[in-house]
Amino acid sequence: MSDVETLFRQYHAQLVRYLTRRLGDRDWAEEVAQETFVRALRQTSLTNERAWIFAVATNLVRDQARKEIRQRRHLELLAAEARAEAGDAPPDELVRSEERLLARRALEALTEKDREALLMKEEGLDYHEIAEALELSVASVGTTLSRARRRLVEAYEGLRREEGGGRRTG
Amino acid sequence: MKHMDEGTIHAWLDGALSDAEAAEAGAHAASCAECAAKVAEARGLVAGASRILMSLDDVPAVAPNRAPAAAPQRPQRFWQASPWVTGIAAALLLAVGVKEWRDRPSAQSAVASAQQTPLDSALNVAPAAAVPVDSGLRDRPVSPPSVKPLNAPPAPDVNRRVADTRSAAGAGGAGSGSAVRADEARPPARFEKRQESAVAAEAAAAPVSSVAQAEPKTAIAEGLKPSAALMPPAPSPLRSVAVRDRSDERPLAGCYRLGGSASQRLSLESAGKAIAAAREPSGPARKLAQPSAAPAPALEAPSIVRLDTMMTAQGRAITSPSTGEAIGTWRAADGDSVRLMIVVTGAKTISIDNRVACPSREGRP
Repeated sequence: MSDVETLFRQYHAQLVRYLTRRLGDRDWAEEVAQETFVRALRQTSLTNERAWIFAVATNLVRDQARKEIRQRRHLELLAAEARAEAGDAPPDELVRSEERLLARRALEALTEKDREALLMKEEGLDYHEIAEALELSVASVGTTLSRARRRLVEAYEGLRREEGGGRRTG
Repeated sequence: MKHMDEGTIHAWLDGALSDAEAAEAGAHAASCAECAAKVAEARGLVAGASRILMSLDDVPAVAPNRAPAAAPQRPQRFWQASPWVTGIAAALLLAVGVKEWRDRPSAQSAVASAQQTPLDSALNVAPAAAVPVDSGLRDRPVSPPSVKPLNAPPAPDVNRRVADTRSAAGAGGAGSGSAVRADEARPPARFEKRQESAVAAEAAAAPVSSVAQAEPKTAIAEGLKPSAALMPPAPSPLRSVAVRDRSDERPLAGCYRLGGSASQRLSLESAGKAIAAAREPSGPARKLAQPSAAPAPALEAPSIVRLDTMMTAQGRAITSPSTGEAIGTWRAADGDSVRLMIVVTGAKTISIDNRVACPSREGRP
């Protein structure tokens, strides 16, 4: 297999972004990414490298993520509110913050596998890689993604309507 | 042919169908209004989901004011110490993205490909474009001394969690530690066809606790030692190039109009250079090779760009206001200007007077 240096160059940025979206915390994402590549150091041969990397990273966060993500989302909300009250955030920033929080909540409306499949697809993994990483059949990846996308969009729109929906700045 | 189900439609849009299946799908969609409508809806969902997920990328620290005093506890994150590695990673991502676009299955039916492939190609390129090449255009000094070192450890619970996954011996850490170890054994067994027996033997032979105890130490040692190997020799002493705070740039975020149309035209030469540089397997990404003879995809810089606050390793992201795709990076420049580096198109400095209202997203899924 390619050495870890090559793997790192090819996949590190993607992995960090995948994990950041998954976890909602960039530092935490980089921790897990580091852990993943450390494990890659111990593998002597891999048949499907990207799928392996994403599978390991996904497993690393699965159990911890559920509880921690809720806690962190709460903290992020508090931080955003504090910033808003302090008045030091420009209006653009507030909108971005709000969009991000809505997106995060919408993402959590998905089941874990749907969420992971969609995030992996966004990082460019193909159906075979996603199937391997998540132990799905290739034939079911399309259905999984269609369901995930629909739920995400519907949840997001629903949340936006709840929030008073009138703010549509670009 | 029976109507298309949603899974097939999405697989088609994602380019995951075989040539024959895709041709069949295209033919059916062309002749069946109901399915064509479903396809249109699915496209909207694909783009909408992508855009929603992109808004997750700008994640400020949950605890923005970290105590730098605690810095020594934290191992240096070696990959962040070199702008080189991220630059090369970005270059490779771009090369992969462009290659995917150019190698997109052209055997799909003519009806479908005209409308469909640009979309999935764009979606395929997007992840790559989100980390664009900053080939040789970095002319600003790196890491002003006033920047907060992001290597400082975050809230203590992160360290605890990390320590948990790394040492199975710690009180209360045994559970998560061994659980992680067990998980770790699973994917390798699935992926390593030839080494299966070796992995199984290793996992089964030694008692879990001693294996788990021995492994983390070597893992840490291995993980930290190859730092020298992982970093190509940098021309200057290693500096902390962690993602910079640069909060002073945030007020500059917004939409800007680029100058006259002629200057936006992509020159094949600069596109070829950028792609050739991205394909360089070795050597600094900033060294632009001789112009490539290969025809480059004709991209146009849009006339209005959105300067996002989202931070990447090379700078904050530029996105297209209509599609939301990242198309480059920007940073504040001297005077009242910002420096844009748009993928494949090149670098451009514009004045903040070019700022305009962002196009409305009303009505878009």
